[in-house]
Order: sequence, then structure tokens, then C-alpha cells
Amino acid sequence: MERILGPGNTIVHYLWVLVVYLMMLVLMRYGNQTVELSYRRTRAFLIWTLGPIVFIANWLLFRAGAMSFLPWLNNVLHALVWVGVGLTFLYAGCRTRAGWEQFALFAVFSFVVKVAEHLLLGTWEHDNFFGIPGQTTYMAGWSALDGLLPFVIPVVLRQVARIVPGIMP
Amino acid sequence: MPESIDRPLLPEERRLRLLLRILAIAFTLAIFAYLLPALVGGWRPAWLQLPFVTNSVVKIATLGLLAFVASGDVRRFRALVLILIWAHAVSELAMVACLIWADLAAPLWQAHLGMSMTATLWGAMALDGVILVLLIGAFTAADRAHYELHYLSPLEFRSLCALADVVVEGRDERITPEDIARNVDRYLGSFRARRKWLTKLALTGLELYPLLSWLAPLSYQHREERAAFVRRCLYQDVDRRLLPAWFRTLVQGMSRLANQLTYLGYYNDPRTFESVGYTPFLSRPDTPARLAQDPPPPRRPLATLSPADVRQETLDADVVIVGTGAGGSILAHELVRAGLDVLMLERGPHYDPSEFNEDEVDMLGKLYADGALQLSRDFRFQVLQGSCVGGTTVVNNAVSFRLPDRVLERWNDRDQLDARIDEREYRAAEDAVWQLIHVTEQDHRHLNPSGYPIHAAIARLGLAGSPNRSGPVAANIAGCLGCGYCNIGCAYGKKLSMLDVVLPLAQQAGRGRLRILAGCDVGRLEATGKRITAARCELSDGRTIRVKGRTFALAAGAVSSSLILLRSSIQSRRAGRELCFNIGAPVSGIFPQPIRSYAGLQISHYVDLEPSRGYVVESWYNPPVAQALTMPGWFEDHFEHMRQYDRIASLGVLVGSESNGRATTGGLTGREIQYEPTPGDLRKLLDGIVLGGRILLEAGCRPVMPHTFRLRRYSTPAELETFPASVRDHADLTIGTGHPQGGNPISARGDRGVVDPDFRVKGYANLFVADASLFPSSVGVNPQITVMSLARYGARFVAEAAGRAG
Ligand SMILES: Cc1cc2nc3c(=O)[nH]c(=O)nc-3n(C[C@H](O)[C@H](O)[C@H](O)COP(=O)(O)OP(=O)(O)OC[C@H]3O[C@@H](n4cnc5c(N)ncnc54)[C@H](O)[C@@H]3O)c2cc1C
Ligand code: SF4
Repeated sequence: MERILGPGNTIVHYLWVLVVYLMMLVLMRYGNQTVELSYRRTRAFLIWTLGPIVFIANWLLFRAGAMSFLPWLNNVLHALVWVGVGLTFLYAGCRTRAGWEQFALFAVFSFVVKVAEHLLLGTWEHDNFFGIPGQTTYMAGWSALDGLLPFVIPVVLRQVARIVPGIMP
Repeated sequence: MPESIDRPLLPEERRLRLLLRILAIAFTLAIFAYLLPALVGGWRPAWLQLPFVTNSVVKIATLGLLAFVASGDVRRFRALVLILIWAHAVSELAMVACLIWADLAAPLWQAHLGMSMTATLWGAMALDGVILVLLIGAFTAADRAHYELHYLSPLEFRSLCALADVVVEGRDERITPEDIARNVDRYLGSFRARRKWLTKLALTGLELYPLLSWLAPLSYQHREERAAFVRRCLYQDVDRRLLPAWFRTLVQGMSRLANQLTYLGYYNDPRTFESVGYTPFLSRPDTPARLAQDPPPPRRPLATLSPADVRQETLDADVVIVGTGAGGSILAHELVRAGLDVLMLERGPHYDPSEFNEDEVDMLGKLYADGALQLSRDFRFQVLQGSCVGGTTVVNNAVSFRLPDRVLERWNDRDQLDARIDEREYRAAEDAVWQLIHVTEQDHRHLNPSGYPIHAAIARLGLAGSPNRSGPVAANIAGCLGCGYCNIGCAYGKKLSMLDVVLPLAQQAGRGRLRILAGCDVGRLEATGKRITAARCELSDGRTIRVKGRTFALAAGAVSSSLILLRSSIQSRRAGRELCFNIGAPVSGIFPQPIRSYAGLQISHYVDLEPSRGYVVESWYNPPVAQALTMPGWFEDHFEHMRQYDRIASLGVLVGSESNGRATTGGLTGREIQYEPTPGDLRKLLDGIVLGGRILLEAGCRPVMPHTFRLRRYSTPAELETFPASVRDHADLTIGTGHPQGGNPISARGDRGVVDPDFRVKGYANLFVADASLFPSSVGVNPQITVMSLARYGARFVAEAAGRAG
């Protein structure tokens, strides 16, 4: 059970995490209420691909020693719900903004969620980020890397659009 | 309140009577059931300690008596049944309160009855509940059957009767309030509309509004008290602004809707025609001669599909056009001539002009969106739009203006919306449309009779000469008979509308390539990436279908086209914004002698000043219902004005508004129009009304009356000049529009507009717009020619896209 929930965690802790995700989504909706119809298929594609990729990547990075262990439920929620649904929604809304804005939005939202998970579940506990010491550095570092997602996603989407109709970078 | 007391009781009423008789007996027996244990038997000690027994005996005896008397004549003593229902409802609430808060541990009760007080209360609640349900069911069924209602509930019906009784006020009333309410019920039952329930809300609100003043509901008040209440609370409080702004908006909206229903019910009844000096066209003495002189032309056939013809769940076409109005029809005409296969989807029904009749209310219900009840969010601005095959052109006045140069310049201004409309091509399209629908100056015999003195007055005031423009209007009308029914559909084939001319011509030219499906409401669009793949539609028989196409064009009119985009999450940040109108505000004047303005073309003359003051003034008149709906004055004033209906002339002031309106999918009905005129637009309106009033005074009218909330009459130009100062804001005026525009404006700019200069919705490869919603700003003159010309101008873009897609 510990490997699923994390030491000392209960389902209630996870419910609070979901509340944090929800609050982030509400915040995001201020900037963009709906996803444009032409982008719906792309959003669906991102939800179904980005989430699983991040899930696997988190585990592999843990095995590689670059990340701390995320209990399975935490990884599932973080990858599939937060990254899959939340960050995809954020991307659909901000992808036409200036690059630095997209970076800032992704990095800040990711940082807030990591801190929340750290406080609620005790996860994201690591003393360095690729050798740079500090717990906060670790969370900030990974958040900054998340900030690069809006630059990676369109590159991938452009390739996918060649074979899957209706996908837009 | 008048009741049809002498009719024999209906089966539902007899059932109610039977129930009341049973209850009367049961309640009487219950008196003994309450008293006996107090006198005899082992329960006596417990019973004697129960103080509520006395109350219960009084209650049950009273209820028994009420049921007994009410069963004697369920119609006359209807109110007693309501009291019975009320008493049982209160009893239920009281018992719930006891269960929650009272100390129910009365030991003697338990000891002697073997049942706890709690259980007893639950039992009593169940019994009262059953009686309550039976009473409500039987009462509602009896009421409904009694009034033979199609749409209104008995409460709403009675509320309307009560209002009509005091609002239609004057000597020589021709029909009873009950007749009025019955006419309204028939009207409301005759059409489908999302907003119809607002009338129910308004009437229910009206019935209960007196409760806030600690008075009986409206229909239970004595006539005098009711008249005083309506005068004070619906009129004076609103006029003097004694209520908080939000509440005043509600009250004004409620009373506007309810009053309009009342006038509609009264003035549409042929029994009232003679009293207002109105003769319907077919009964006028010179009608046979007019018909002989200008017989209706042979009809061009138009074949449409109805939901019954649609068996499959998916339809398919090269080009799918949503809406069959001015824009949609011209577009279809061009596309079928380019060899494309076109399917038009129309929300409204298809009526052949031979089905048009002289019954205004019947035609309003059949031909208009929301049965002509479409109002803005604050209920102060009426937005009229047609909803039938042919769209608004079926009910419009056919008045034709070319797009003013100054407006086209503004649209193309690079610093503004930058619409990039090619002027030469646009003007060529305008010429072609002008010819296609045979626009000519209307200088025939059957113009609006008030137009002649008005035209002479314009000349006397020195407004007729160049650079001003004035005179008879140009319109797509040929051989007009002057029946005056343009706004309820031309039954004589004289108005060369989309229904009469363009769609039949297109179908003829298309040889089977143009299909029109009526009764098909497009809800939203589906897409794969940037390509729209299908439209999801609801048929009027309730089924939903998908219509697939290679190219789609929205021509559902301003407001609706934006809502389809919004519902589909297309351009959600911009669609529906920048909505604008030609706001219309009428001013009327009374001639000393009958002039029968109704017996001719509704809009026949105009004056447009140069340099523009931002408005056009047009002569305007309506059949009695439409005229009554905006006629100034309340109670006897309104009634007296309507009695002079055949001596009145009206002018309409049209102001091209700023683009501060908005259409949204929010609100109570999922279709909301938000709009208030800006101070600048209000000033132009007032200026135009003063000019209109001066023209009417010069024409010989005394007094003249701008259409205002509080009646204001002016008999001299000097008095009239004081009018603008008396208007605090638009709530003081009666304003409305038949010309909504914008919402999906064209713009080449990336940061503005919904549609690119090639009429393609930004971000979509095969979705186009071709209706009044395209306008980057209001045109300020009657817009149909601009809508049609833009549709023709844009057709090549659609054809190109459809050709490529094919
Ligand atoms: C009483 C009145 C008098 C007028 N007089 C004049 C005049 O004299 N001169 C002038 O120039 N203009 C006049 N107009 C205005 C003019 O008729 C309109 O501006 C013009 O018809 C607008 O054309 P359109 O194609 O944008 O929309 P419309 O002609 O209104 O056509 C839109 C069509 O789309 C249909 N539709 C809407 N939503 C849907 C949906 N979801 N699914 C399927 N179908 C849908 C509607 O039922 C309608 O048939 C008048 C308007 C009114 C109301
Ligand atoms: S007045 Fe209007 S409805 Fe009557 S014949 Fe002329 S065009 Fe037709």
C-alpha cells in the first residue's frame, strides 16, 4: 500500500490533491474558457499521449536516479490528470501567446502543483536537481523543464499532423 | 372576473365536485372522531390533556364547511377550493416544523394510544398529503378543462384576464377580458419558441406581485383596487424610478410583456376592428378593383423538404447553408448556378404565400423568430427576426438602400476593422442584386396614404432638396396592392422576396441541385481540425440528425449565426461581440381627419439628411396589433389613441448604433442579447424623434407623440424641442429593431473580427458566413441589400473552396 499511496498517505490526501488540480483549472479558465473546436482533436490526442508518456518518464527518471519515487497513485494522478488534462488545457489556451509567457505559465503552474503535492503527500522529495543541491531547486528545476513543454509539443504535433488528419501544432 | 357560469359542468369539474363532497362528509365525521374520545372510553384521561383538540375541531369543521359550500358550485366558489389547498399545505408545513422542533414526548399520549406522538404526526402528514395531492390534481384538471387552454395555465390565464380588465380601459370595449386572454392563449399555443415560457413567468409574476404590497393576488382583487395597483406599481413606480434599478428592470419587463399580450389579444380580434376604424384588406371596398388592376402574378413553385421526408440520420451535400434568408438565398442562388450541390437548412417552417392570411397574430406566430417575442436581456429592446423559408425577407418592408459610401470607407479603414472589401466588385454585386430582385422606386398609387402629406411637409421644411435625399422609397416590390401587410407576409406575390423569387429561381436553375430542408434547427458544428465535417441539427419533430458537407456557410442571421459559432466553441472569444443594430424609435401624430395610413405600403417615404446626422426617418404604419404594441399611452390614453387609429400617422427614426451589443449563449434561454444604447446613440435617436415630430406637426398632426413609457404629447415645435430633456435614458423610450447586424465582423486583422475578408471564419478551411452578422459596423440604413450584395460578393470564395473540396 505504501508504494501505491506513499508513506502515511490516505485517499483523503489524494482528494486534496485533486482539489488543488481543480483550483488550477479554474484559474486557467480565466484566461481561456473553452478549447476551440478546431483544436479538440489535438487536445484529445495530447490527453491520450502526453499523460502516459509522462507517467512512464517519471518512473524511468526515478530508476535513473534523476527523480524521487512517486507513489503509483501520485504518478497516475500527476501524469494522467494534471499533465494530461490540466497542462493540455493550458497549452490549448496559451499556445498562441508569446514564448516567454507560455514558458512562465507552464513553469509556474507546475511549480505550484509540485509544491502542493510535496506538502500534502510528502512526494517530490529530493535534495538536488541534476547535482544542483536543494529541495526547492529540485522542484523548481523540474518545473522549469515543464516550462519547455510548449516548445516541444508543437514540434511533435507537426510530425503527427502529417499522418493523423485534424491534428494542429 | 367574468366566468362562463351558465355552461354545464364538465366531467373534470364534476370529479372535483365529487371529491369536495366526499371531503365535506369526511371532515364532518372527523369532528366526532375528535370529540368522542374526550367524552367516553379509556382514552379520556389522555385526551383531556390535549389542548390542540379544540383547534383541530375548529379546523376540521371549517374545512368541512368550505368543502361543503365549494361543492355546491365549483366554478363560483373556486377560491374556496384554493383555500382548502392552502390550508392543507400549511398544515403539512406545520407538522414538519413540529417534527423538527417540538418536544413530542407526551407520555400520556403514548400510554393510552399505544402510539408515539411522532408516529401520529407522520400518519397525519400522510393523510393530509394524500388529500392535498388529490385536491391539487382535481382542481388543476377542472380549471384547465374549464378554460380550454392551449398553452397558459389557469393561474396565468386568470392573471392575464385580470390585467386585460384594467389595461384595456375606455368606453365601448368590444370584447371581454376573457376573450382577450383566450386569443392570447391561442396565439401562444400556435408556435414553438424557446423563450415562450418567459410569458408564463411574466404572468405568474404579475399575479403574485401584489403580495409584496400585502395585497391579494391580482386576479383576486376587486377591479378598482386592481386598477389602482396596476397604475401605481406597474406604471408610476417605474416611471418615477421609485424601485431599485434591477427590480425596476424586472417589473418593466414583466409589465411590458404582459401589456403586449393584452393588446395583442384585444386588437387582433375582428370584433374590435370597426371601433378603431380599421378595415382588413379583403373587406375594403376598393380591393376588387385593385386586384383586377394588378392581379397577383403566377406563382413560381418552390419545393422544400420537411422532417417527415427525412428518413436517414445523416444527410450529405457539397455545400450546406444554414438559413434561407437574405444572405443564404442569394448565396445558394450563386452556388447552384456554379454547378454545386447545395442543401439549405432552415429552422422555421415553409409557408407558401397562398397560406398567408390577414390574421396578424397568426402570422406573427408562424413567421417570426420566437413569435416576435424576442427581447434583449433587460426586456427593453425588441429584436424582430423572421424565421421561415425566405427568412426575414418574408416579413420585411423590402425598402432598399445601397450601402452608403461612408460606411464602406469605415469598414475598409485600415486603422479600424480593415474589412478589405473590394469596392468595385462589391458595387457590381450590388447592381446584380438590385436587378435580380427588381428594386424600383415605389411611385405607384398605393403608397402609405400618410406618406403624401409627410412628403409635402418635408419639402415645406426645406429638407427635400439636395444634398438631402427624400421621396418614395426604392423597394423590391412590383405592382403593389397597398394591403399594408408586408410585415406579415405578402400573399399576393408583389414583394419579390427570397421566398417568392430568389429561391424558386435558384431551384429552377439548379435542376435538382438545390434542396431546402425546413424545420431543421442547427445546434452546433463538428470538426476535424480546421475542417468542419457536419452540422448537428434538431428537426421540428424532435429527432436529431447530422448533416455532412464539404463546405459550410452560416446565414442564420445576426445573433443566430454567432450563437451557432459559440455553441460549437468556434471563435468563442469574439463571436457574438460587436453586435449592432439600426435602432428604431417611432413618433406618431394624429391628423384631424381620417387618413387610413394602414391602407397602403407600410413604409413608403423617407428623408436622409446630408451631411448625415446618423439617422434616417421613414414613414411607417402597421395593422392594428403591431401598432397597438408600440402605441404610446396607458389605460384610457392608449385606448383613445387606438380609437383614432385611422387618423394616426407614424414615422420611424432609424439610428445606426455603435457596436456595443453582444449575443451570448447564456441567460435563461441560452440565447441572450445584451444591449443598451450608448449616450451618443441616444442623442441621435432623440434628435431624429424631434425631427420626425416636426415633420408630423408640419403635416398637420396635433398632437404628436414620441413612443415613450410615460405619455408625452406636443402640439407646437417649441414644445417639441423640450422633449429630449425629458428623457433620462433609453428606459423612457420604446425602442426596438428589425435590423440586427454584426457579431461575426469581417476583418483582415489578426486581433479583431471573426471572419476573414474572404468570408471564411478565422482558423477554419471550409466554414463561411454570409449574412448580416458579417457587418463590421451598423450600416445605418435598411440593410437587406447590403446583406444580399455581400452574400453575392462572397459566393465566389465559397464556390472556390467547395470546388477545391469536391
Ligand atoms: C419587420 C422587419 C422589417 C424589415 N424591413 C426591412 C426593409 O424594409 N429593408 C431592409 O433592407 N431590411 C429590412 N429588414 C431587415 C432585413 O430583412 C434583414 O436585415 C435581412 O433579412 C437579414 O438577412 P440575413 O440573411 O442576415 O438573416 P435572415 O433574413 O433573418 O435569415 C436568417 C434565417 O436563418 C434561419 N435560422 C436562424 N437560426 C437558425 C438555425 N440555428 N438553424 C437553421 N436556420 C436558422 C432563420 O429562421 C432565418 O430564416 C426588416 C426586418 C424586419 C424584422
Ligand atoms: S403592401 Fe406589401 S404585402 Fe401588400 S401587396 Fe404591397 S408588397 Fe404585398
